[in-house]
Amino acid sequence: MTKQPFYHLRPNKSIDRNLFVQTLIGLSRELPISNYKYTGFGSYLFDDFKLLHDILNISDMVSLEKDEVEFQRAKYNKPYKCISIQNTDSTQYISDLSIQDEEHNIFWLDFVAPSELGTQLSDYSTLLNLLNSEDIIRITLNANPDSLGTCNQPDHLQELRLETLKERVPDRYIWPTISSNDVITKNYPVTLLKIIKAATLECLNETPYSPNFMLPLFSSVYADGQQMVTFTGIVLDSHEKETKIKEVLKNHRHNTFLWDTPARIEIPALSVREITELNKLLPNPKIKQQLIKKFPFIFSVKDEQAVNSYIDYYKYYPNYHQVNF
Amino acid sequence: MTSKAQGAPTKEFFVGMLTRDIELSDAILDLLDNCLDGVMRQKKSTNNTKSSDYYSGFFSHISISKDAFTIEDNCGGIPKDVAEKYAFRMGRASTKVDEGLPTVGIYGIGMKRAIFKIGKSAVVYTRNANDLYKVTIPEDWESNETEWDFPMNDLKDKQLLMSGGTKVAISNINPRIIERWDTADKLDVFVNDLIKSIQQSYSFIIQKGFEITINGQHITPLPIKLLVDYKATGGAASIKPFLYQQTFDDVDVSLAIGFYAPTPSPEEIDDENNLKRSTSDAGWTIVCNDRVVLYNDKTHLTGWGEAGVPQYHTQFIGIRGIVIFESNNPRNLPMTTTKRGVDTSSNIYAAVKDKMRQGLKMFTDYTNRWKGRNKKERTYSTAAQSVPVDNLIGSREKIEASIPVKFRQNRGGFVFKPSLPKPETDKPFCRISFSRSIDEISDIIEYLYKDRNHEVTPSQVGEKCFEIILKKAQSTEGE
Repeated sequence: MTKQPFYHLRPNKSIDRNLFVQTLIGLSRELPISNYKYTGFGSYLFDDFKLLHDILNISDMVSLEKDEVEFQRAKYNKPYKCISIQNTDSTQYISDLSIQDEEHNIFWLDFVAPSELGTQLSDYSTLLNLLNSEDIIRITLNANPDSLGTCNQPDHLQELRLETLKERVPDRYIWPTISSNDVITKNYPVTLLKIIKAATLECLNETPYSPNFMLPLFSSVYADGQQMVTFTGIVLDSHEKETKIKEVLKNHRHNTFLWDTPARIEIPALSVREITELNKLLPNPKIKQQLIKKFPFIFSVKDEQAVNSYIDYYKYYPNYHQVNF
Repeated sequence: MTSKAQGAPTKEFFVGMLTRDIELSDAILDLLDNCLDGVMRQKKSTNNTKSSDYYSGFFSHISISKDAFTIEDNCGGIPKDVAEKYAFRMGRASTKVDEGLPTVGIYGIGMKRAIFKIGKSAVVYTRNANDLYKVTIPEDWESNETEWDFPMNDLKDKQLLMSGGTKVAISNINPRIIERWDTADKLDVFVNDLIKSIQQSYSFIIQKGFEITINGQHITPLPIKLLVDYKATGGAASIKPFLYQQTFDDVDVSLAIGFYAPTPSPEEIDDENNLKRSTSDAGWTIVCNDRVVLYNDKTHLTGWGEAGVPQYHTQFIGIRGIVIFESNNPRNLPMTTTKRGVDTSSNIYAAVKDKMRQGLKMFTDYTNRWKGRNKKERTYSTAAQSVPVDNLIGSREKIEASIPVKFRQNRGGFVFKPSLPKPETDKPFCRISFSRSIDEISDIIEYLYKDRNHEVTPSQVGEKCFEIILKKAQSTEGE
């Protein structure tokens, strides 16, 4: 845990979290989101818990912490009374979980360790089997290809990584035409999203006696050091409900309802002055070239993703300040 | 001038097609299925297959020798009009005879297929209501391309099939079958294998009173049992099965999965060949109207290795589950036409499979969680008793009254989810194993116990060495 970056100082993750909150705000026009129970991995900073309680008034929350020491620390730092911290790992928690018929849940499986991909997907599948219609699920996976191994033969590195991926993921989630091109930095997040899609369709197959299916809400890729990918979806059992949900989220650009077209959130670290000057020019969808020209020390033509990201998500870029107590 | 090209099938082709893909023992099971359908027809008025003595008083006696195969039952016989119009036709006409009855024989091919699999000729005697008659399949039937019908003759024999039933006597045994029955030893092997498959498929039916004999040998049921800890009440963590029940239109489903035996020790897993318990006892058994259609399955068919559940592995040898499907409309049961497999395209099966995986996952997770802590785990599994699965399926009130479980409603069904014991700390354990020469191990035994022949297992020697070094390492910490 100590080797992790400061969670709360990760601007791109913060933007992703905000997109999630925006989605929930939209959904709350159709669903009683504030009555939902939220389960996540709050660690000791509880960023997501604070946001969901402050903005959406979600007041039934469970944070899972498998490490005994971190568990004590989490209890010490718990920001609100309505958070219950459980000293257990997600596998055990989900395995023991009983969801009542009338109960509604939001789960965020915010996984970190890339080597446990198989277990993570297994937890996700087990959970899908249990969720009620209108429950919301979010899964984050490490999408950094480095995590699939390194070798001193650069020409064979991608093949090696592909093999590692195949070892970690059940065969049924891998498609026949998968190639080493699917594990390069740019494509690996989409590969993982496709795997999540396959795992989902295996569990939720919309049959007369088990009508649940998944409506994807949005996916995102962000990197504050490690590239991560997150999928967010809602379990539904009727297409009328699907239409209503698409209606309430129609003005949110990031809610694409597609599996594998993630929002790419790749904004470099910015100073307060930079943020202020940039924001003066926004919103303006045609500003891209001007921003690149005006801020050559931040953006470049070669990395259009950074400037695109900023144009799309400037509103959610966090401000960090040093405060002396 | 127009002429016609012949299109009718030859009997040789027809019989060949009919019998090619069925195992001999499966063909015999088809004949037994016909007996059971007879019971259903007999008991039309008391149509409660759930009663524990439903088949009581009914029997099927099989005798096998190299010259003849006979199966005789007292299950009511074939109504004469059914014999005339349907029972001996190759395939059933669409007119339905058993509408509303929970029979498994719905495809009308079993008896003919079994007869032709075994021999060239047969006589089928049957007594139904006031009729006693025989239908003969003559030896030359297959070579006569024009005659498809079989002669029927009324009989007047007071002793034959006295209480109503059917006797199929097959002769002119096919050479491929004779090869398997022509010495006493070969016949023994065959009969033993047949008994095993009958036990697997008809266990529930035999338990409910049906009597099956082969060459005079009574077949006993193979009851499925699961571990239940009676002492642990309320929410206390203990070994109990996962239970689920639901009704899908006219199909009732009852499910139980748990441990039937304690989880194996690492040594047992390593030494698979010496496992006392057979891995063939683990897995899922699927029952449709008392008939086992899948026995101890450990594949994707029953959710292993799918949707978050691990593939079957020897460490899961203690896990066993059963799903019972019952319906008055057998067409809605998730079984294949051969009655020896599940119909995975069934929507009911798809819904039930979700629960099968959910239950199974609890026990695979439990096994994984306790890995390397076998001794402690054993204290839980040995506290539990083996309970016949009949006590875990059927009426919820009865189950809740007899074992400490409480169902709760879930998505139109009822679920009991046990609270299984958890290890106290979740500090991960890791197993150390390695091999050394027996000589060297004996050297250490001598060093530790001053006796080269001291009775101690190699793994205990390893543990002891580890403890000694650990103590040393921990006492020098911080130096």
